[in-house]
Order: sequence, then structure tokens, then C-alpha cells
Amino acid sequence: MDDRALIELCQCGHPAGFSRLLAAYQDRVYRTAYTFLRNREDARDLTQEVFLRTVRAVNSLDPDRPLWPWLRRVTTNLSLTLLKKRTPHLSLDALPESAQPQDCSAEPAWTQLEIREALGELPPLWRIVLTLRHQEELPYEEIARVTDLPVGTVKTYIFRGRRLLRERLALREGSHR
Amino acid sequence: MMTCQDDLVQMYVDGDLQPAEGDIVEAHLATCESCRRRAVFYKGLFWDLAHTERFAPASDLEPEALAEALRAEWVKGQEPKPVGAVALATLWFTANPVFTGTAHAAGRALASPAQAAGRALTGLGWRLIGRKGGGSR
Ligand SMILES: [Zn+2]
Repeated sequence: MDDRALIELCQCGHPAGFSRLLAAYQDRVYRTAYTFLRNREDARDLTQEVFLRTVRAVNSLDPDRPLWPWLRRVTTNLSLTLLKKRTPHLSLDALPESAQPQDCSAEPAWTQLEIREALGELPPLWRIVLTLRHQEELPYEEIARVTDLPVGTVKTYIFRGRRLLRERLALREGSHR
Repeated sequence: MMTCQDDLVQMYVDGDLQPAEGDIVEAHLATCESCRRRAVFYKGLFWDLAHTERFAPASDLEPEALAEALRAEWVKGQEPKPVGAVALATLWFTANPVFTGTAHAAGRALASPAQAAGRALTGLGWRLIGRKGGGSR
């Protein structure tokens, strides 16, 4: 079922519309939320809220436009709101002391666990921006729009985030030897 | 001759450069072993970053219960609204508790291992539904 049919069914309150909406997008929303929040409970609660808001706004959705960008934007906004609420005094982009750049020239091969951990150590906002860039393949301008950050900041987070991951993963690799 | 520039190598691997700029980076890569390794690294990293959803566990939400809740939410939205009600379409954008906190009390559903999460989420007007063993409805 395409988005148009989904949206139209939901707009007229057809039960099949909501079931199919979830069948099509629940997992994707959940995984995106988990990537941002890295916590199952939060991702689950946030997924529910994303769909509730989608239903509340359903009459304003254009059946001719794909639904995922809307869902992604709500997911991103709610995640940012939650993260800011959690750490009101802590900048979302503050870099931990241990994450200062190190010199590294090793050519690492990393495991999934290692990259997952390295991602988890990034400031949340960096991780969100990197995910939007690489997983969602959004242009810088769109990431800036979704996250309400200046384009220059988005680029800074992306480039520094990737460099930091490289340093982290290279260090891990070094410590194995 | 270009010096080693991490950002440029990232942009090259990301396909983010103009052709002329790409040529310059390629010329540098041809002579610089360190940047070649860097480029290989970023290529692998970008692939992994494009597939981070693999790291997420599968959703354990019950779609049936959530679908019912969505339908109930839709029915509620059909009820006549007081004059001057704010357009719901814009609410998600601000995620402002002033607007979203009115729907339901979320308190009793929050006696879970995620109490900290619950507290934060309550402020957003959160409701926990369709959750395995939750029994919040
Ligand atoms: Zn070089």
C-alpha cells in the first residue's frame, strides 16, 4: 500500500489505515528513535507519540507527498526535545574530555560492537546529525531545517563527528595489538 | 600541491566535491599513503553510518494495541473543538507541553523500570499504550 492510500484511509478514520500505517512505519520510526536516544523504553514511548501526533495532524498531511519525511521530522524533533529536557544544563554537543582529538594513522578494521560504542560516546546532537546525513542521506540544508541548527554547525558536527569516530576506532584497533 | 586535509578527504569519499576539487584530491591520494588509508577508512565508516539502524533492537510495541489507540485518537479529533483551538498540525514542531499536556494523565502508567524516562516524557504529554504487560488502558 502506498502512502497516498495510507494517508487517505487514516484521514477518514478507517481502522485498516492505522494498522497499515504501523505495519509500514512503526519499525522504522522505532529504530530511528533508538539510534537517536539509545534506550529502548524511550524509543518505544517516543514511537507511540510520533504516531499519535501524526494522527492528530492527519488532515493536514498531503496524500501526494511521501510520509517518511514527516515521520522522520517528528521523530527527530521529539528526540531533541527529550534529550534537552533530560540534560538541561548539559550542552547536547559538549565533547567529553576523553574525546579530544588524538593523532592516529592506523588503518583500523572495527567490529559492529566497537562502532556502536563509538557512536554512543558521541554527543547526541552529533550522532543525530550524522545519522540524518548517512542513513537518511539528507543534504546539509535539510538537516539544518530538521534540527533547527545553522548549516555551518551541521557541517562542523558532521566533519568533527566522523573524524572523532576515526580516532576512536583507530585507538581501539591500536589497543588490540 | 594539496596538503593532507581530512575534511577534503571526507568530502571526496562522500561525493561532495566539484569535479575540479575531486581531481585535486585524487592527485593528492595518488602520492599520499596516509590519505589513501584515510579514504579507505571513511569509505567503510560511511557505509556503517548508513546502516546504523542495524544496531537498533526490534520494536517490541504491539501494533494492534497501538492501532486501536490511534483510531481512538482520530475519533477524539473529530469532536468539535473550542473556538480558537490551535491547529494541531503545528504542535509537533514545537513539542510544547502547554499544548500537548492536556490530553491524558500519564502518571499511573509510569511505574516501570523507565521511571526517569517516564518523568521526562510526562512533560511532553506522553501516554504509554500498547505496551507488553503495561496494561495502561
Ligand atoms: Zn595526505
